[in-house]
Amino acid sequence: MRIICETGFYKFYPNSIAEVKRFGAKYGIELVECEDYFTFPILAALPKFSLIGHPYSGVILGLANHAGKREEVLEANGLAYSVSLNRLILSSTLVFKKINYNYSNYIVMNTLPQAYNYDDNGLITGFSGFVDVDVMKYKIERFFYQNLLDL
Amino acid sequence: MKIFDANCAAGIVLVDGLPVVGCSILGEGVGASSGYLVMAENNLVYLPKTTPDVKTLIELIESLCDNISSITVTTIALGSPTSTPINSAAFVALKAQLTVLKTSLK
Repeated sequence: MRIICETGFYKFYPNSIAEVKRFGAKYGIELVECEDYFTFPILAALPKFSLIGHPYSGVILGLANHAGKREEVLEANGLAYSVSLNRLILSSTLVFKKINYNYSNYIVMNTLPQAYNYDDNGLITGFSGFVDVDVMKYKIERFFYQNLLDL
Repeated sequence: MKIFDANCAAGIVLVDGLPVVGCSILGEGVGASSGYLVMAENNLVYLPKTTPDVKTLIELIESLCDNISSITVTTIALGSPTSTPINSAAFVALKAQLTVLKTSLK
């Protein structure tokens, strides 16, 4: 099942619905359909806009005025999905953890990579890759990095 | 793009009763109004409904027509100071046209 993470927003593109079911059973969180991909329920429920000081997600108030794609609005608000907590947190609180991995044809990881952690190349804002739902290994093709000009 | 029903009072735009920060107002924004908030990416603009202002303006002109008509009637009754009395019927007809316009604003 293909995974694309953009600025802390995780999208899953299964070959069959069976992959979604098996992933949900093993991961512990059932993915839900959202537009042309599957994602975590908390991300699927996000609105496509936010207004400063207005309700955005649950008790979280909007930190920015923005309308667009869910992932764009999430980024505009400085938030990201926390893989370990299964909730939205400020992306700035994630930047202190390093992702360690070994190179091969793919970067193979046992856990879902967390956006806004870092590696030796810089701050990781997302990635593209696959999840092998049989063995629950994440095969990362490439990481996306924070543009230094955006810092 | 996203469009919300909105209100504006004293230059502050409200959506669902909460103020909107960083919003441009396409108008004077002085008087209270209702309208729409349009969002495109991080740009916001409030568009007030302008027809209520037009309607009020028409009502004021209608009132003015009534006043002028009554004055001309009085003037004619007393004998016009000029040799060409004002035709009050013209103002009655004008008011009728304004009334039609008011009820069919685009």
